[in-house]
Amino acid sequence: MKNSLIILAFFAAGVLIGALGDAGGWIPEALGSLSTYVLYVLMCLVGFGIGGDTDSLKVLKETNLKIVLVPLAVVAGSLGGAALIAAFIRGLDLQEVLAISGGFGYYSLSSLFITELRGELPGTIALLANIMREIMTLLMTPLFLKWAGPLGPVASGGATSMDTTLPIISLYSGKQYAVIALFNGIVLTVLVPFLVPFILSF
Amino acid sequence: MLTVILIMTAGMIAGYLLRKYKKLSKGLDKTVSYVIYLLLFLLGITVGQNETIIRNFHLIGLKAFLITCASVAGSLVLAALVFHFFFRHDHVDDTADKGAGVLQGEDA
Repeated sequence: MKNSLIILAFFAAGVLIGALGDAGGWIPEALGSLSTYVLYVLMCLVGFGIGGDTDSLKVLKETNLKIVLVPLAVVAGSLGGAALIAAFIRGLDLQEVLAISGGFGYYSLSSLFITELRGELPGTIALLANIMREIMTLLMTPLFLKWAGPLGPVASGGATSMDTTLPIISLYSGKQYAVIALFNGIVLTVLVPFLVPFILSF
Repeated sequence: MLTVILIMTAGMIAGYLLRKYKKLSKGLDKTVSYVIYLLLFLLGITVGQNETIIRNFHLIGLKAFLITCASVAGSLVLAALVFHFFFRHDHVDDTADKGAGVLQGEDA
């Protein structure tokens, strides 16, 4: 939660400076291409982290096969749910709604990808929607547990179930679901940088 | 976008090869957070310059909320089904507040 608030603060500061600077005319043109290069640096670092993380490989070895169903359910459920309401969202096409939903709570990366490929408007919606997913999981885990059983909070957390929402999942669903949450989060986190551009590539 | 995926794959290979150097991965998480802050700050600046977004910010928030609700609802439905059909049988209730009655006789 703290991390997403910091991110929101940086974003808001940027919006403020952008709005003021645009009126004053002192924003350099090169800023847009700068963010592309910074994104490259970020992706290299994210890849480095995934490649060097021996724990995530261990989790894979220790659990049985049906655990794969959990991230699968999140992918199918999120995209399916988003597809059902896509027609009611004006100004975004089906692909954009699916890509936003396909961030699974990984707001930083998914919003940057969507901005890069489709512009700031869907990118901003992706940022907000995915931050909301994390906050919603943190606030409503007890209800989700009641409605959907112990896998409910894991599924709702999506990619965040490996870090920010893991403590609350382990608390309410039980410790045995912490491993599943970890696995689910890792799979979805690795999937996002491939799935989002894939959805938008058609 | 292919460039990004190539760069990430290169990073993954480098990370795997250098996985023994714990110091590298320790500093990594912090660096990643700072780069993300910088990028979202930059994204904020572009958004701030975009009048259409600024004028319709309440609508954008509503759209984001709708997409989130639909995604979470869909995930919950499928998670409930997966639990019902595949996980129910080896479910052991170990949450603290449920108290006694969950201890299995043979183990206790």
